[in-house]
Amino acid sequence: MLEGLLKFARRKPAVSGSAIVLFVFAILYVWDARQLAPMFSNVGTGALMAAIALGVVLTYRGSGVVNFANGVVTIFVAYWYYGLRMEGKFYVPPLPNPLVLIEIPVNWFREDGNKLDLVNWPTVIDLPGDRLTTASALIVSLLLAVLFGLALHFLIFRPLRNAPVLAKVVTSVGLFVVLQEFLRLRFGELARTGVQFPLPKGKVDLPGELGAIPNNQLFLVAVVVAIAIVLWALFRFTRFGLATRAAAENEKGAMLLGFSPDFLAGANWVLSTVIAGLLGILASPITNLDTITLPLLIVPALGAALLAGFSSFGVTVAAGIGIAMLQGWVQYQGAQTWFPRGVLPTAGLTQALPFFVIVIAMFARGKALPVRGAVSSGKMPAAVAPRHVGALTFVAVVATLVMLFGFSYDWRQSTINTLVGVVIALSLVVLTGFVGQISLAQMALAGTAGFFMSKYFSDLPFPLAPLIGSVVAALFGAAISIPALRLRGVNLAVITLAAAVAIEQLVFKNKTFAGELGALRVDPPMIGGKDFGPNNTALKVLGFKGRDDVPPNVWFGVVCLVFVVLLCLMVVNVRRSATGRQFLAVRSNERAAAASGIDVARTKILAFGLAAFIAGLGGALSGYRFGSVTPQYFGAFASLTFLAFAYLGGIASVSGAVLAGIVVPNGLNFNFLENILHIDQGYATLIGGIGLIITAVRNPEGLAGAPRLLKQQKIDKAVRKAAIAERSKVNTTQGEGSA
Amino acid sequence: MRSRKISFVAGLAVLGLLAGACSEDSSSESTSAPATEAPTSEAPTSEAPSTDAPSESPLDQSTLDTALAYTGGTAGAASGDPIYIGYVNQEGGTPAFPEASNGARSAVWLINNFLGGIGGRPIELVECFVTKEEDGQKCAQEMLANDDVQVVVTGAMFNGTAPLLDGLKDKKPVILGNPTTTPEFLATDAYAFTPGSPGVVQGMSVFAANYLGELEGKEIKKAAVVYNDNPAGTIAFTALTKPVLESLGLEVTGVPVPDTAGTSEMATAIQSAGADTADVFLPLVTVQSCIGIYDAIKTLEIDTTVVTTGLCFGTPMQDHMKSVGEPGKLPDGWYFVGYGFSYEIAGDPNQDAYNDAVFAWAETEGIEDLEYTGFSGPTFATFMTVAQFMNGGATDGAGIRAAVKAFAGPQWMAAGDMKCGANATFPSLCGFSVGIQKQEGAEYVSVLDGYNGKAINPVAELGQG
Repeated sequence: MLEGLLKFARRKPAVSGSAIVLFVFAILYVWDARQLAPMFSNVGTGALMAAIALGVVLTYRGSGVVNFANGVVTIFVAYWYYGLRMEGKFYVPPLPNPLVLIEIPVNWFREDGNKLDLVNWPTVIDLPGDRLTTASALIVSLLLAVLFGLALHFLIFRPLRNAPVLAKVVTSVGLFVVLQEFLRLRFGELARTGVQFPLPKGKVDLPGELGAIPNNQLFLVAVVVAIAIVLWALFRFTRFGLATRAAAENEKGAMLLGFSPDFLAGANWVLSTVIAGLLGILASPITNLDTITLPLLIVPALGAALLAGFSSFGVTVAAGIGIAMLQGWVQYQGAQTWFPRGVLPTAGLTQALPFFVIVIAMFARGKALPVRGAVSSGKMPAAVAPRHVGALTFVAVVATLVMLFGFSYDWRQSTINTLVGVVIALSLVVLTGFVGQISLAQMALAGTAGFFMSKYFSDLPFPLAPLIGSVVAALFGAAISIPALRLRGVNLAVITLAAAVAIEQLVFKNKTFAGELGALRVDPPMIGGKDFGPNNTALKVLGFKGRDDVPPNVWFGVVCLVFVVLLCLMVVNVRRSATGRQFLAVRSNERAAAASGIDVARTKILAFGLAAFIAGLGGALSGYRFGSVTPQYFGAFASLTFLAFAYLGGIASVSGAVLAGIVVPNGLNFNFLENILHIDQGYATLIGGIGLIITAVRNPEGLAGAPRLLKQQKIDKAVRKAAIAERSKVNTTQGEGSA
Repeated sequence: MRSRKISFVAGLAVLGLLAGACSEDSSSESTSAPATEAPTSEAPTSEAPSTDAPSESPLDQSTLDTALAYTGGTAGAASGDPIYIGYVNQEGGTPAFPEASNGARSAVWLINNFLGGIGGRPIELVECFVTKEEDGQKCAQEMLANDDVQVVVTGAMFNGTAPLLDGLKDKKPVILGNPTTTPEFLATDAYAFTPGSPGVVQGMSVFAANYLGELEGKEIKKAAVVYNDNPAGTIAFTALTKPVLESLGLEVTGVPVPDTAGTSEMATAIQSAGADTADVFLPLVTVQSCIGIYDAIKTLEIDTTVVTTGLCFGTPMQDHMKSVGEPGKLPDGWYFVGYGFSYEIAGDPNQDAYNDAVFAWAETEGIEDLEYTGFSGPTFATFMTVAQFMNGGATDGAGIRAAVKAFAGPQWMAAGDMKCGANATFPSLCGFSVGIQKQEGAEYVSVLDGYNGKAINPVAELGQG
């Protein structure tokens, strides 16, 4: 009987799935019918998640890119609509202004109030008339979405078609950062309410105590279901659809059959942006527009896409709406008296739910994403063995001490921020640069150490407290590595992003664990009975103290410097050691590594643990730096941003980590931009994101690898020149011989 | 290979050029922020005061008389070297309270141009904004590094209060415009003349439990609460609402929502909290969330008595009411708990003077859609009191501390008694009285507040401190 049912379920998954859902609903109804009401009033959010997920599926099938930025793309188009419809304005992205190259040097020699201010780009273009009508704003926004999709394909992802998975992932992360920063700069972070679109009013009453479904949400569901049906028909019955399916299965084969993967990819990018943008616009009256929550809808959307195997549009939509309904149910349960709110934060559990969906989906499916037969898999950035370590360390230490003891408080603070940034970037060098494992949860792991140190180990002497906190982070890292034993590449990126959200929501925002203030206090490090914390500016060591009494205390900077030097030397030694060679072997080819006797699983667990330990020290230092640890600082956004800056600096080398530390938010580069170039720090993250995309497309080795790349290009050029000379010499000789 | 090299160099050049994007033409941006948006974040810089006295006063004489009498200033414009006051506010993120800065700047404009400044010298604000917890440390550093700053005033902050107050403690006194977080309530070198959350949120609970039943003619036994999932929202529910309501005999169900939640999420939260069956529904949310609450209640056709804070009384809410065709400026039948008086009810000289001054300032600055509600008024009022202290000779930190401790009110635009440091539970708070008003059809009416002398003091009623 059971065997027969299982056989039927395998043969008719849709029918059996629906039957299971109905059965569960029936049980819930009998148990407490009221608990179903919040599920039905959240289907609008589910429709939006489903649309984002559809976009993810389309770009994956069309180009092999899992677009982590699709949530931002959705609201990006919706903000365009907002500007046109609500304000009669077209918001212009921040554009490079060549005149700044004149302004900056001139203004170095001018006093405040007499600065040179040349012509600037406009931030908005006021449209003639007042505001566009709903129809015209919608059409213009969708046309912009078409152009946007084409631009994303041709300018960013087409050049990456032969790049390694890492480059594609970090590029889509860079796109996330850039688009979100653009929206933040233009619209602020405060949610926009009252967006006008004539959605249906009223509600459909459900029987009994099931509540009601608002008509506006029902409309969104109808739209997304209709889109899914159209997509299904398109992919089932048209040549375009067949070609995309063929390319998704085997890109090389599709090329041999005469299909252009570029055309297919471009068309799918356009479809993706238009669908995501359309639902973003339609949903904006009921979801509001904001630059923080909506971009992270990508996490449940990825869960929905995974459940659908990145293939079925119908399952994608059902999963998207289902996840939202499940969130509504969890929220209801969280408000009940029996719910252990002290252990499980209600809001956090709702947000973390997609993580569990993703974990279940990945384990249930065995392999999460269908393997795509790309034309080329590309090369990872070179992890060159470090040289001149002693000399470089000496120079870096002296430079840092000069910054700490010789400069004002803002430079001291940015130096300390840089040192902490170097530590966290080092963790990514070990994990992503050396072993090729893409983690979007490093800041979450860093935070784990900070929170545990503050909560449980604050009574321990320094440096025992941060070390033990980092061991806890290492354990978390090792736990995350368990799925990594089965997953790699983009799949791992997906699950680590979901894990970052889950850690943030369930651990850092857990009121029992982290208190109700939204921050845990971190007491200053005490060394030899002396307060080395950032606020103790009176501290004298060997008779030396800082140049003024404004925090941060220079000696706290020295403590950070000691950590950085030790960790850099440790990572250098790891790279040079047999372990480092095993790391690189696993990165290069897991099967080949295993064939040569390397224990791949052990190597991965070691790398995850070591990287998390390093990140944990960064988190602990960060806690000392601010005197507290907060969920925001270690949230999912922070993990994305840090990966972006680590890749920009150079993901596969210690020098890259140092450069990453310099360019991270609030690091030395930020202070330089603000105080020397007089550029608002608000633009620095945007610049970093664009730098990341350019780096990923043109120079995968990052800033640290640029000199090596240029040198290699010179060598290549010389070799080519010599070859040409040799050939012409041979030709001449042959000519003379034949003559 | 050449093209690759050129592209790389070009890429770097683009990065450099992109840096120039920050010098965009801000003048092309509309100076009138839409009603539902926050202005984009501004760099934390000092702002030079405008001390040009208009040839014809844009203010009513009664405004000038009231303000001069309160601050102890002398009529006319200030001149000479400025007196610097630090100012920290939460702007540029979510949540954000840019309206508090409208209150601060309009107060400085009024004092500098019409009230003779501080002993004839103009005030200049040294501004610093926070968006996240860590920014509080940066602002503390900036204030400490500036020797001209003797006192720091805050607007409204949900993040960064702990590092800010820790950093400035015993070095420079902090005057809290609108205390909403625990570090503010418990600070020992910070002082607030407004009741903040301990007054307003506990006031909501006391009002709902002790007064609402009689007003609405029903028994209040069950309360549903939806609150923003941020430090201030969490503390408001877990420490200031739930225990208070339960101690007064009510059954309470609370549901947290993200700061950015829209109608869809609000509908789910409202149903999860059981607002449809509760006797009273208390949304502890910011104005953006409040709009979502209103829409969700309307969509689900839930009939409940709503008691909320003055945060829901913002111009975005009023604009939304207009757009959906409500007869009044605010949702019909809702009760609002605030600091004692209301922006919408005339009759209090201080409140009327504020309304006059803030709009005159906005006109001078060319601001069309002014957000003058929310935390704007209390921040304005706080600056007026600081000016009073400074005109009385308290121009350094020690002087300010002494003046605060001697201050017995009345506080501008606030109801009730004032005594700083007298409450052991909330040592930084000097007064706790709150007022309640209600929207009835097209009218906004006084219920229990400073206008009818019936403002309630929840801390006294609860026997705290």
